[in-house]
Amino acid sequence: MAEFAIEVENLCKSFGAVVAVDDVNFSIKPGELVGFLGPNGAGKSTTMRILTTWLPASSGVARVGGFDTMSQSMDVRRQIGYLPESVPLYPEMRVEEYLIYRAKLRGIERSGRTQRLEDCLEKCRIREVRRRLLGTLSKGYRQRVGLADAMIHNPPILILDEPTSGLDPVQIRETLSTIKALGGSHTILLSTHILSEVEAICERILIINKGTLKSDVKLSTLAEQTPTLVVEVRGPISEVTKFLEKEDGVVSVKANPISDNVTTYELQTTAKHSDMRETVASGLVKQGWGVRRLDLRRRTLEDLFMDVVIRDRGLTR
Amino acid sequence: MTTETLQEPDSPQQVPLNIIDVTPRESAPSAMKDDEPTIARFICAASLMLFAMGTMIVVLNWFMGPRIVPTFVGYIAMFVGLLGMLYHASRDSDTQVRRLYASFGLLLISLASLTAFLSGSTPGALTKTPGFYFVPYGVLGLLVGLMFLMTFLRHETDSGWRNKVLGTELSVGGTLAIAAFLVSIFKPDFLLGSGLLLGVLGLVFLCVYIGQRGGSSDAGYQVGAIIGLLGVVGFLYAFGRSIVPALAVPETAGLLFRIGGVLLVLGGVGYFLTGSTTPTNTGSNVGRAVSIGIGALAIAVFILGGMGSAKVFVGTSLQPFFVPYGLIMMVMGALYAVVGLGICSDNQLVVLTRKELSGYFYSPIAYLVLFGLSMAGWANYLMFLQLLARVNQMGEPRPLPEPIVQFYIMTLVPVLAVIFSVPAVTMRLFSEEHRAGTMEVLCTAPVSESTIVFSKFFASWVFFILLWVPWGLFLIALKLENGVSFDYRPLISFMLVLAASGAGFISMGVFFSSLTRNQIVAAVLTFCGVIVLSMFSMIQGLTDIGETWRAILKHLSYLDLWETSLAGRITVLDLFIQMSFTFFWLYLTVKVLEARRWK
Repeated sequence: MAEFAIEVENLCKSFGAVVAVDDVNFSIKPGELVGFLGPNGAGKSTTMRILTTWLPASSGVARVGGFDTMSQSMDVRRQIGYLPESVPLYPEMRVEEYLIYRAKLRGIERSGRTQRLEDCLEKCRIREVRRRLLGTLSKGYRQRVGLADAMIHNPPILILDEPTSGLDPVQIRETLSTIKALGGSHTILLSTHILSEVEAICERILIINKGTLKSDVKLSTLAEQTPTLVVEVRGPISEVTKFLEKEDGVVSVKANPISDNVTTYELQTTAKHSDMRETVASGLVKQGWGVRRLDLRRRTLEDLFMDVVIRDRGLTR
Repeated sequence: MTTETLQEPDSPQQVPLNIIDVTPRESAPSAMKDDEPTIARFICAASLMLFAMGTMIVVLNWFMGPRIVPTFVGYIAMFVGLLGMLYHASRDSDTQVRRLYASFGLLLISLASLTAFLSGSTPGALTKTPGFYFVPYGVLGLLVGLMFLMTFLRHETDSGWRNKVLGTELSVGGTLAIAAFLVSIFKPDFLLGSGLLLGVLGLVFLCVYIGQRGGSSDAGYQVGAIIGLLGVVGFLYAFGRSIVPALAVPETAGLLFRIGGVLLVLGGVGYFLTGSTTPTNTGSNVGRAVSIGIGALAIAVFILGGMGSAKVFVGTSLQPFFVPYGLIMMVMGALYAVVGLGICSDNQLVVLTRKELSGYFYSPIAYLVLFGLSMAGWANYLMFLQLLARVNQMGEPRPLPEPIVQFYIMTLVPVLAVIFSVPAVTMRLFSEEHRAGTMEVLCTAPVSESTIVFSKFFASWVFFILLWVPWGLFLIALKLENGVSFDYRPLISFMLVLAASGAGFISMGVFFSSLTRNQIVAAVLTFCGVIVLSMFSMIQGLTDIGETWRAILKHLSYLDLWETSLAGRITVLDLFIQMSFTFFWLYLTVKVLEARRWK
């Protein structure tokens, strides 16, 4: 078993003058469930297509399961299950027929084939439509058939490009639970721009914007970061700021005036003083200023995403 | 941003309850409503009337001589009536109705089987031959009965009925297939006409059976394997018997026995060696298949040796067996073997070819092209009949020189048919895959580009050859109508040449289809390509080109190849040129696909 399931080193891809992927580096260990986030056009699909050997990279190395995608393309393809964004299916085939055909193409032995088919139909909840023509299915069912096709040969690595796009809330829930159930035994790289889904199932997040990898965090570290203390005070700005800065444990203070005499202060504290609400409140009240609001705000994924994408602030601290 | 959305720092993996905890059971996507097939029932009533009327007309005309209404009106009424009944049978799922149709289908099949044993002959002939009415009445009865059984199986859910009907299909198909091969062994004359028909019919029945059971099921797989085995044995027997006269020497027989023994031992050893390692390994499966092949070859060699030494099956005379009986039996055996392979094999090439070929029959283009080509064939046949019936100035018939089939093929219509049908058949091969995006899913599966290209080529090649079957049927109708035989043997060489030049065209179509996402562009490019190829024969007829150019163009032109084949000659060189065209275009296509990986 290779050390890394997916390894990307200095990957670049340009379509003529358009630079789609610019010097991306990351490694994914076997068994990880990684979310690939980014706005539209950031380079998520392109990176995934390079990993599945559909597109060649302009430069750099991509390795899947230890095999190089350029020179050992067949070995890579045997390791992966791929669900493209547009879920292309042959409209004239039936669901069962299509899955059996894909199973045969992947070399699944006759003896185990029907059992695998039944398993996949069950897991992806498409048993009810097994005899329907693919052309007559709705988007949600097509996605599920595509997912079943990606998992039918039990690949060690799954690459899913927006697996929940276009699904209704119930189907999203089911698909995510299916993906999460596959989690530990398979390596899964899925791309999406719905943050709640990523928070629900992924352990690790890669945020890509304009072709460069801006952020590579584990959700656990994000949760462990010290929260920001937000306090709304009625009082003169300069004096309150000076008082807050002098407080023990406060690293920095940012003042946002709301109206005449009322200001919101954001305090960054050290890790030891993670919850300073009571001390700050009592200190301010003792000074005679009115405390209107007191909040402990953790940095959510949305904050990180907005930071990275809109304010372009690079890797997290 | 309140504290309620915070995740606890000590359990960051805790999933919010509202996303994936409680999922409902899977239910069908839409409500199902049974629709009342009122229109279908109305059509059924009308068709039943027509059918009864038609049958009455035909029967009355037959037994009591010509009446006011001619027989062909009766035939047309029967045909239209049957069509309407089939339509109703496919639409109506009412239990009584469908079981009635099943019984009707079974009755037709039994009646048709009876005709195989009834004796009859042309009026005025001395002796009656058994099975006289089998062609065409028995064949038609079997086919129509099968169609009704198919519509029945579409709706029937009771397994008792299903098994009975499927069992009937299996037994009829099996009997037909085995009879075709066995009778041909003992009476080769049977092959020409009835034997081939029986064999094809039996194959159709068995294929319908396998289609209903499912190709992946055990029953389907076993029947498919038997079909394949029957085909291989038939082919080997025909091949062996064709070369027996050369082997009717005792020394050769002894040598063959020794070779056969060695091969058998090799095969057995190989089988056990490759089987005893990991049994579910593809490599060991190939090894086993090769050993079985060696074993079959050994058995064939033994049979040849036996035949050579004992002259058991040669019969009373060493009549020429190869043309046409050996050829026909070999073709039949090859057909069975290929069908068996298609059903049972899990080889990627076979799977992809099967999928492509069945994909053809799901698109309307295939049926339109088939219809168009049949219409063209009909027009061509009419023109041919005019030619046959031509008279000189004094009203005396001017006979055509043999082989007359050259006047059937070497006219404008077949060339036009080729020019228009090849683009229609090949235009969607790669272009549709690019458009729909399925190329991505196909190329990210562990399939090599050459497998993809060859599968598309084989599927469209087989379909192209199938398109010409109606033209052959017209010629059979000519023989049946007049009873006068004509020299059909040039047709055998023509079929070979059609297959070879067809391969050249189809591979060109495959290449152009792989170049573009737009089907129309691919079609136009292929169209131009075939026209250029057709022009070669015209250009080489011009007087003011050099001799070398004339010779080159003559070899390259497919029309000249057709002409020489219809005169009964096959130039192996020209065949090879066509095959090399095929490989050239297919090689280019593989390169086009591989180039994607470097863009």
